[in-house]
Formats: sequence, C-alpha cells, structure tokens
Amino acid sequence: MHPSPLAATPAAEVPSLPTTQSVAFGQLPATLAPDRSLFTYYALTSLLAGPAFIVPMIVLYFRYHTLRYVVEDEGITMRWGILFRREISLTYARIQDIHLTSNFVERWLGLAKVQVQTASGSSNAEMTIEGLPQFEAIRDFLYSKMRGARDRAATTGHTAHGELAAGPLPEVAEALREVAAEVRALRRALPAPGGAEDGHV
Amino acid sequence: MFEGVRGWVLRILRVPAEPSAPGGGRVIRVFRAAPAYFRYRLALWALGQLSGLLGLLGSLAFVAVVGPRIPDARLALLLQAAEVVAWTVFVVQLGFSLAVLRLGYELRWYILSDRALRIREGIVSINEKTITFANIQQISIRQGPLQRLLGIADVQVSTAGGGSGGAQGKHGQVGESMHEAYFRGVDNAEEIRTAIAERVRLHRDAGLGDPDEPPHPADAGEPAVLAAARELREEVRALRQAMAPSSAR
Repeated sequence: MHPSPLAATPAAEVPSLPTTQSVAFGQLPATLAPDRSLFTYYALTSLLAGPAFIVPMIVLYFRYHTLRYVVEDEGITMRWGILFRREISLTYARIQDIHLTSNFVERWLGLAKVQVQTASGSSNAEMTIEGLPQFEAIRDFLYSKMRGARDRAATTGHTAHGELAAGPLPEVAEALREVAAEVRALRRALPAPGGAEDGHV
Repeated sequence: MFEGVRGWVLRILRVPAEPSAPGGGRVIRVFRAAPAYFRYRLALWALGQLSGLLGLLGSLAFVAVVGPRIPDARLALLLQAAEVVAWTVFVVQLGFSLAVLRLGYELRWYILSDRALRIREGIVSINEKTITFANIQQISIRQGPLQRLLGIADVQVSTAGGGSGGAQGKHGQVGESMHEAYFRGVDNAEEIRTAIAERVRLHRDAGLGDPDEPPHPADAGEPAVLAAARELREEVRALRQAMAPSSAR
C-alpha cells in the first residue's frame, strides 16, 4: 500500500509490542515502584556530599519511598515527594528522544536511567526514569509508542480512525444524489416553458 | 599486556554488550568512528597528560627546593609521601585512562535502522541515545582544524527543544544538549548526512510530536461525493434554465 521504505517491517513489529508490554508491566495502566538498589545508589551518591551527607540522604530517602511511575496507554506519569510534591506527565506521542544512561556504579547495581525528552527548552531531561531494573524493556516500550517508530498504516488505532472518518463520506454522496433526484423531479414536474406565468404571479 | 588491561577495565566497569537496533527494527547501516578519531583523541589525551606531568615535575622541584628547609622532619616526610602517592596515581591513571580512551573509540556505535537512529558511546558513563527520524529537526557537520587535518568530522543531529546542556558536561564532551546526538569522529560525514536526510525527508510534518496523521480519510469517498455534487449542480442549472424563459419575459 505505502511504497515508502518506512513500511518495510510493519508485520515484524506489531506482534512484538504486546510481548514487551507484558514483560515490562503486565496490564496497563501499571504502577511501578523503584527497586531497592535505587536506595543503595542514592545512599552512595549522598556520600559524595562528604560530612553533610545526611541532608541529601534524607531528601533522597523520601524520594525513594514516594517515587511511583504510572504507565498508561497514552502516556506516563511519575510522582514523588512528601512536603514538596511533584508530578510529571508526558504523552508518548510527544517524546523527542530517549536516552539510556548509566554510570559504572549504577551498572554494578543493575540500574540505568531512562531519560525522556519532549520539545521543551530545559537543559535537563523532562523525565528521568530511574531505579527500575527492567530499564531496557521500558526504553523499548517507550520507543515503540514514540512518534515515527511504527508505520502509520500499521498502527491499529489510526486505521480504525481512518475507517470512522471515511464512513460518512459515501453517505454524503448518497444524500447529494437524493437532492439531485428531487431537483430533477421538480424540474420535470414544472409545466412547459409556455405556462410558466403561473409562477410569476 | 594491553589485552589484560582491557579485559580488566571492561569487567570493572561492567560495560554491556553491543547495542541492538531500536525496537528490533531492521538495521540499515552501522557506522563506526574512523581510526583517525583514535589518533585525534590520543593527541588530546597526550596534551592533557603532558600538562599533568609538568605539574608533577613542578611539585617535585618544589619538594626538592623546599623539603630540606622544613625544620619539622615529620612534615618533610609527609610531603615526600604525598609526592610518591601523586606519582603512583599519575602512572596508574595513565594506563587506565589510555585503556578507557582506546575502548571509548572501539565501543562506539552509530546505528541507523529503518525508522530511528541509535548512538551508543561512553565507557565509564554509558549513554545510548535513540531518536526517530520523524523527530529530527536539523543535521549539521562540524570539523575543527585538527579534525580536518585527520580527515574526520562530527555529524550533529538535533531534535526540537533547547537547553545549553551544562549539566550534561560530564557525559564526555562539554556542552552537549539533551536534544543533540553526535556521530563523533566519522570519516564519511557527508554519507551519513545524506542517509539521515533521505529518511527525514519522508516525514512531511514538523516533527514536533504531533500524533502520526491518519491516512487521508477522504481518499475512498471523495470521487463519489464530487460526482454527486456535479450531478446536483447540473440538475439545478437545468432547473434554472427550465424556468429562465418565464423570468426573461
């Protein structure tokens, strides 16, 4: 149908989506909490603050305990905080780039950060998904939902939408034909040009 | 000897295996950094190490001059111990950073799949960037004088969004924004640029994250509607003409 090279592998990608989804989160929407190793990582990073390590430690302790990710059909939300609550939501379709970063401490703990960017002006990532050991699956899931990752025609939602949009048009054509038939009947019902004075009076 | 250091560094830093194509897609090409890129980084590394060495030699001279004049023997010993530690650290990091430099050149992939590109770089801190072609805003090629001499260049790919990326300075190069990805040290920059631009051109929208457009819905129904509308126009015209003689009189 679409002769573009983009349509090269739709068949291979569409069935792979449910498997990644189920491996990573089971049923959507899913709520995910970070792994314990994230707290270990937080403890190690707060030690970098030297003698004042207790301050970042407390902040990060509460962040670790309140951090939740909610993965939904259309987007992902993360929230954390006790005194100062923070919540970030973004839509998959608006994702610009996905970075998977890890330093060697995180790799020893089996962690990595998935940094998600939308088209905003901030220099930091809009959303940093950290503390989840299934980071690869999440990255692939986000990628599969991202714009341009799949063929337009292969996206089931869009074909359904297309059918819906195409639905009324034949009906409009049918209605137009009926009006035409009415006008034709009206014209035929008119008296011959000679007797048209009736309409004039 | 180098192989041993290499394996040791890879184990210590837990460097994962080669990245796969984004989303299990079809790989079109995998670009790698040119050998000249290693020489380029080596030259920069040597420059940095040279300045480190000069600093150490300076401190050695300082210890040699000031050391004998220190009245407290324990303080003088401490100074000499610090000097020994500094030299040891210097020698160990010399080998380590050279191995990281070499691995940073070897373990560096620029993957183009049919829909997206993925760039993996880094050894101590690993960064894997995935960008779909639909989101690319701009491609540029950068080359400094030394790179030009070596025949290599950087291809920069940007997506929408700004940010100076000061916080990202720790990821290798300074000032790399989160909305940029670099194909560093490639000797076929034009080819990469053309390959990416070709794929970007297939997308006609602005790449600002609008949902993919549905296939044009009017395709199927449009001719029928047009034909019906024409038929109606002809009928109405005929009706007017049928009535025209009376209104003309």
